[in-house]
Amino acid sequence: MKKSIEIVKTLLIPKLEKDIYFNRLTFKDAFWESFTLSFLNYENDAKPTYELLYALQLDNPEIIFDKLATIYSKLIKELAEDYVIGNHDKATDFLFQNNNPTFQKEVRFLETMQQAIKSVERKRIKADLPTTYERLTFELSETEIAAVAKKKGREDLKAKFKQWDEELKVKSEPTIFYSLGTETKSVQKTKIISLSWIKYAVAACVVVTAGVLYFKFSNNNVDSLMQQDENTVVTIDEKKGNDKNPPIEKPIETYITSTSEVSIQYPSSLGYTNTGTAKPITVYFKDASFTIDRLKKEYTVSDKGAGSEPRAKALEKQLQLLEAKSGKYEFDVKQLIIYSEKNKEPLSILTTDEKTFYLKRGNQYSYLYFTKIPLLFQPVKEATLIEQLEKISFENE
Amino acid sequence: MSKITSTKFGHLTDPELVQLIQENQEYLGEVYKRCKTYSVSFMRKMTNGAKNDYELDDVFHDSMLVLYEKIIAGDFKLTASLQTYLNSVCRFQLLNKLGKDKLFTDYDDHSDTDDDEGSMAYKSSITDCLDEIEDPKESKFYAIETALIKMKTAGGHCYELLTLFWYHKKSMNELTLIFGYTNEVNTRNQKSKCQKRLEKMAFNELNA
Repeated sequence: MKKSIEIVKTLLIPKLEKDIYFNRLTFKDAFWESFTLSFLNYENDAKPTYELLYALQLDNPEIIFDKLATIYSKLIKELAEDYVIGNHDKATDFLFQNNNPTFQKEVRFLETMQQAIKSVERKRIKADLPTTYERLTFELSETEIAAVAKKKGREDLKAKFKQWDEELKVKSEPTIFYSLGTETKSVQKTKIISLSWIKYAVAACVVVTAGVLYFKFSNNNVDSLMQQDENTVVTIDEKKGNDKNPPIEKPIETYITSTSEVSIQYPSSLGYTNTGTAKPITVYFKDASFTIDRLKKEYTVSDKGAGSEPRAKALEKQLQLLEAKSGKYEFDVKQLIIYSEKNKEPLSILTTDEKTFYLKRGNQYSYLYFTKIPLLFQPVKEATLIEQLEKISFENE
Repeated sequence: MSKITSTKFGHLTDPELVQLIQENQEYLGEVYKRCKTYSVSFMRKMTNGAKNDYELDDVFHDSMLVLYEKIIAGDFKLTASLQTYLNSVCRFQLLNKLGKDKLFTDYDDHSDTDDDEGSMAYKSSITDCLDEIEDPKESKFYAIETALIKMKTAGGHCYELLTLFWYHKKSMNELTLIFGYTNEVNTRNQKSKCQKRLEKMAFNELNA
């Protein structure tokens, strides 16, 4: 009953407050209890409710009477909701036992609605269950967010550049118009004058530079010839560099790549077995062992030479990058990149539920996670899962 | 307790998981990942291949719903591991489906000798199962269900608000926090508006 009294208070007091004599009123608990009890029967007999309100000696009780039907409807709805949720009390029991039609109609609707909601939600949860784990563990790495933000930032900047270009075009036109009388003639004149001046200046520079260089080199040749005649010792120009230390910028074949296409193997229950309709995944084997060996040799040589620290550091960095990826993999829906040499072991990709993928190399199974960051292969250890994968593999052979 | 798995939340104990599911339904995914393989193997063994994987998956999904509905009802007490509980619910549901036929009885006789107790264990005392939806073919029910699906497709917060209250048993306080309303009175008003909207839509469906 306490809950019903609280609901009645919440609904009725704001209406009573509008009456000018409200401040003179004092409400005792007994009043609210008797009012709530009589109000619960308002639909069958409104008289006791009116009498209790008249007893309050309000300035204009009729205004409150007009609103009683709405208040009653709200009260019944709230009590019906409570009843359907399972919170039964004296008030709900009273309404139920007295076969209150409004209450019963509301309860029936809410019960049906609850069942309908249960049905729809159960279907949704059941459909979502296989992917719930992926949703729970899905997170974006900082590098992915940074890459997207970078791309978006660049696009925005490019858009701004275009906008500025447009503004520049618009701004440059009136200046030309102002400087010379007629529009077309003036533009042509300005361009001809400036271009021809630059042309002559550049030509003069080229002639002067060529002259100076010719003079300098001819003198050097004469000097060296004279030195060779006098002295038989041959010297090497230090600026030319050491042939044993080729620069790191020299293009190096980083990976020896070989590719193959592999079809995903599904469990027969998914209805894909041997259909050949599923899209194949391209497997790239990227073998950097040759490059790593070569870099290591170069690093050993360059490390000994004095003044070759930057080169050694660059080699070391490149080596570290290649070694960090070695033996790892990257995977998405279309391709699998394996950073190792292609061996003769048969390779296949399996899935149990179209969401979780596994790699089979020889007789070994490993998890395949969607990743753009190279990951080490994590072997499958659970016996039941291996059994399941072997079954899929067998069915697809 | 079920064994620690290689899942992301494999470090969580079963009671911790139950607590988390009560707050966030998505943690059911962790239970699903941990227990599905063993429960399906258990049922496969139990039915001796009489039921196909689709049917077994369906029974397992129903068992997950039983677990979830028990947790959100607030009276769920874990007396065994989640794996054992789910195996038991699967078993009881299969028992109802199979009608206690010979296949099941044979397995029941040999259950005590099963050495894989951690993953294949069950408790015959657990008889929880998914309660049937009352009168799903009644026109009013169908109208409300259709209206609800339309409400979900249309977007907005009404579908979520109503399902969180009526199915997921969230309190007004929790709903206020989830939807960012200023107070519980506002939340109650919003829910009431959504309910009225659903009532109208269902009425239109009935009279279409």
